[in-house]
Amino acid sequence: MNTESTPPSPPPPSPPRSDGPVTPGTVIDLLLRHPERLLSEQGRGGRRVIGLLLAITVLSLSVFGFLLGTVSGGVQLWAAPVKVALGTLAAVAICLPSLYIFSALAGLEARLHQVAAVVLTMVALIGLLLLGFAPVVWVFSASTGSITFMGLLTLGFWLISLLFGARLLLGMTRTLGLQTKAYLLLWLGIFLVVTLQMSTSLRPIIGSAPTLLPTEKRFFLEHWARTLNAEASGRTTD
Amino acid sequence: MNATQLRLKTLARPNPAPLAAWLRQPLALRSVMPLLLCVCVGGGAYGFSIGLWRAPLQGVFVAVKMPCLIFLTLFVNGLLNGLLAALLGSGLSFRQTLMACLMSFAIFGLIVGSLSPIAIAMALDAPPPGAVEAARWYRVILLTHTAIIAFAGVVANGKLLRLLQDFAGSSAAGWRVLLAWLAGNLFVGAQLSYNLRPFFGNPELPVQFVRPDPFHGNFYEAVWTLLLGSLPTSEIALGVLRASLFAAVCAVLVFFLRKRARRSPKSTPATP
Repeated sequence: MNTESTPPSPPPPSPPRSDGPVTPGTVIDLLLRHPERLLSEQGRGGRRVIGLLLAITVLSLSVFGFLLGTVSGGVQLWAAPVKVALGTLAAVAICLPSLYIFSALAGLEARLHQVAAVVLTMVALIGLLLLGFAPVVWVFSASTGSITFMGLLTLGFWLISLLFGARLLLGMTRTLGLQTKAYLLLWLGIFLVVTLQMSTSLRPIIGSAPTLLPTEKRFFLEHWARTLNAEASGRTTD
Repeated sequence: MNATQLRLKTLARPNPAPLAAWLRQPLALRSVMPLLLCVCVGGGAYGFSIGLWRAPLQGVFVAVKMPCLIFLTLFVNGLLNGLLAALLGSGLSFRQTLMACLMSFAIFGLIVGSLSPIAIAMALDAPPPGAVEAARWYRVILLTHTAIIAFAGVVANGKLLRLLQDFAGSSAAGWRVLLAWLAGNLFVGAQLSYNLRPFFGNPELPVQFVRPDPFHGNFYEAVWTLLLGSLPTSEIALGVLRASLFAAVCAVLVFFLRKRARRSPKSTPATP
């Protein structure tokens, strides 16, 4: 019997070149495989790396938002991507000062721009993962009109992505001298609540409503409860 | 023995090294073709055996739909699987991720395809729908197909796990990637199979390629509705759900506490 010869095992993957040009491919590869090296790339590539991370974030979140908008169609096709992308960046901006202080409490000796770069890297990874979930969202948005189901699905995807983002944040800050992660875990909890509240403040994102932005202020848990009750009683809601 | 036969033998071998070597080769039609062949022919033959009991035409429909289901699942989850593979330390590139998933489905196709003559014979031997003993046979056929799919799934994923561990050089990384892929593929595969229904074909409904409303509703809502309908009141269903959630939270807490306890350094005896 003919047998195939097994080639010798290849050498371990070499780290990406640090003297070549910084391309979107390099940044995505580093983001997924060696995020801690992005810090040194940011030192070397400066604004270009930051710009690429920002572009990846906005593009990924916009595509994800667009597919969420297809649940309702119409105005939501452009409103949902804008709200998802800008809402996430706004949440990051709101939470950045607290991250800076909390990271100092956690023993991190980093400057504000370094902390901003770390959080931007985290959000870029979250965006990439949400982009990966986008085809799944499309399959379900084509099959169901249930706002509750789509909301739960999106929440699940957001939590999974945030979990990976948290892992990256903790890993990157460890290379910057993190001594205790309790403060950062607390900050991650705050960031989660802020993003969930942001999705309620910018509603509708999945459903539809007569106005582009809400006319009534609500806490996100209250909004979820109302949506669940409305769908259970057969009414539509935003 | 030609190249395709050799490739098929490689797929069936227990040693993951030749599969890993296959995965490292540059993308070429001759390296992908045997995998596509396994999915189309194996999956198609098995699909035919699934639908055959309802009607031969239903068998033909399912023979077409089965490979479509596999390719659609690969397509929808391709990007996500690639991202997860990179994040969880598999060492696979996007192309290799897609190939590894395709290999796993090809092994699945190879196994179910090899069992399809038995399943076809069983369908031909069973009383037709509407006959006296048909209901009992229908249950036996369903159980047999469940066993075949479970067996093929376990073998295919076991081989995929060994391949991932070989590639990543770490047992834990292999498990992490496999579980992440499995969760995604099962989640999406269940919905896509719901969209492409019928497969077995309800004897009370006409033979169709897909139902008139394939994109109406989703698998998980249907399961939830069935769950609510099978319990006396919806309050009981909600109670069961709450209890399950509580149990899940407790399990997670216990897991983390035990992990923490294992990590904490053991107390050392005082030195005299």
